[in-house]
Amino acid sequence: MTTEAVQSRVVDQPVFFPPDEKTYFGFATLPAEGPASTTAVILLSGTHTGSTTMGRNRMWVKAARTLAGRGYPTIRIDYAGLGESLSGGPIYDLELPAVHAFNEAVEQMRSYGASRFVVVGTCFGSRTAIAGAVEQRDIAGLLLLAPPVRNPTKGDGGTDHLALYASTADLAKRAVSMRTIRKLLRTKKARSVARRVFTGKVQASLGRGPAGEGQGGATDAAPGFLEPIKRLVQRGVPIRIVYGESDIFWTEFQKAAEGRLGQILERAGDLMRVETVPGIIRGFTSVRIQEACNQHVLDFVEECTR
Amino acid sequence: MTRFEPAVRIHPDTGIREEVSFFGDREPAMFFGLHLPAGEVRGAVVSCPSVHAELIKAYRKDVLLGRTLAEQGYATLRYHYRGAGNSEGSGSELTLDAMIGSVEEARAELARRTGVDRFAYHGTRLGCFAAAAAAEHDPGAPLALWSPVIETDDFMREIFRSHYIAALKGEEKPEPTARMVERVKSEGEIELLGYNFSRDFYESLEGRRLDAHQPKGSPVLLVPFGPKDMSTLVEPWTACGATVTVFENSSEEAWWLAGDATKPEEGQERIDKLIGGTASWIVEQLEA
Repeated sequence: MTTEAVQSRVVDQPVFFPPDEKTYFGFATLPAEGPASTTAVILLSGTHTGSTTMGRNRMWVKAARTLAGRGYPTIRIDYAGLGESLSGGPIYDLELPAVHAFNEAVEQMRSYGASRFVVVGTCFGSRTAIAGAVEQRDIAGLLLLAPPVRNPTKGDGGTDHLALYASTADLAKRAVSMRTIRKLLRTKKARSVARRVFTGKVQASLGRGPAGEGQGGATDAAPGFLEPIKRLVQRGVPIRIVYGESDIFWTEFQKAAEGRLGQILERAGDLMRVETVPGIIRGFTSVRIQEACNQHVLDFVEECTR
Repeated sequence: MTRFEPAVRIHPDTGIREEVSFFGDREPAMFFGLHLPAGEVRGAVVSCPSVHAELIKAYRKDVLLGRTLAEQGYATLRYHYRGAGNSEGSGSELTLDAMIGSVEEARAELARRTGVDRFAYHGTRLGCFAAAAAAEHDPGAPLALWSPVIETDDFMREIFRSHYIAALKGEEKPEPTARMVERVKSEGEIELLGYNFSRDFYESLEGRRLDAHQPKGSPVLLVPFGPKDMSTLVEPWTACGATVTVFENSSEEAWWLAGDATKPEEGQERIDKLIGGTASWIVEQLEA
């Protein structure tokens, strides 16, 4: 369906919410003829700088308009301190998800007549999705796109990831490459990274992880991921998790699944399914991945409402 | 698109009214964010953003600038071009000429909402073409530009280079720039860093220079992000009668590299300096 055809069937309703404080901003994209479904979709982005309503290449704009075109009211929001929302937001920490914003977004969608909710989240948004879903009744399903199971402590999942998941042989190979040696000689920062990887490797080999990790070992899932997922499984909420085959978060998920996460997965059975797509989801850096993820969103929403 | 109600927020402390809605002379409609001061509107600013990654990167800074100006009595209208950001329309409608052409609609909307006839223009990156074109047709209007794209060929070269480097780090074989240029012309669309670039958009960017727009008699503020040479703009614009000031700003921005934010932008010294400095300059020029 063309963009124009979809647009003629939907209303992009800008909204400041909650109604009294108006802290947050969002677009509630609604079917023009009124909702065909009482199930609404909550889209929760990662904290890409600036605004979280649009996504890379407008992927959340397109997703919301497509979903509303199929009859599902959908909201995409700016967290506090981003986009059109007011300031006062916390530091975007995976262990401090934006649950207040999520709960208020749910209430906003209830005001349009929604009574059940499919929650879609990626990165920081996926942690917000699971933490928020625990607090809400009427959750029809949870779709997590490349969720981080651990809490990266430095940079972009770099040093800790290397320390925990790269083999010693891999690290040695990297260390002796001419490029790495040149870098090490050149910058203080590079020396500091190498020191952190080495220290992390030693800690990992001793079974100790960075502060704030789960109790089951360095590669175990973080409490902020594990505990709410466990409770949602106990409640019987369908959960779908999708990773790119080359996502570092996929490697971390697989490793975490050897610990307590694995027990939850086993208990959940068909309720919690994990799928992969070729490439990297994190950052949605290709149009192919954006389209594949939006197709997963649409399929999952339809599955949850059958 | 079926109509909607505007979103309206009035700040309890300042009385500033913020409104988010859509506007435009024709379909598809364009998204806007409007900041109105509590009392008399002393002047108005049209803010022209960039597109794609640059639109997202600068979004919050634009909002903060609008709020700061409203606190000082000035209205600001920020908007997204047709086919970009939260606006209606598909990416195929987005060209540099369409961006430039839309400023008049934004100015007219702001005039309608405020009754003001004295405007300043603010632009970011590629949006500086729209802002400069508006100032060219509004002699003497203040013009503030953040990290202006001076030559579109350099702009595209930077994106192609970033795309190539990203591809080298990824799993797919990087495609030479010449081949991609050939493809956008023959296939009608290519993808760069996860963004769609249409043939019309690409061709509208071929060989364009910001100094082709001459803001005669205007005060101009240039804010480079990092140590960028602005002389290629300062010289021709000074020669055409503009009064050009270059704002010291050591803070760089990797416009095309997405990263997850770890803390809000407000309260960061470099952002406060950028917003405060730009707002003060605009107010000073509009009051002169």
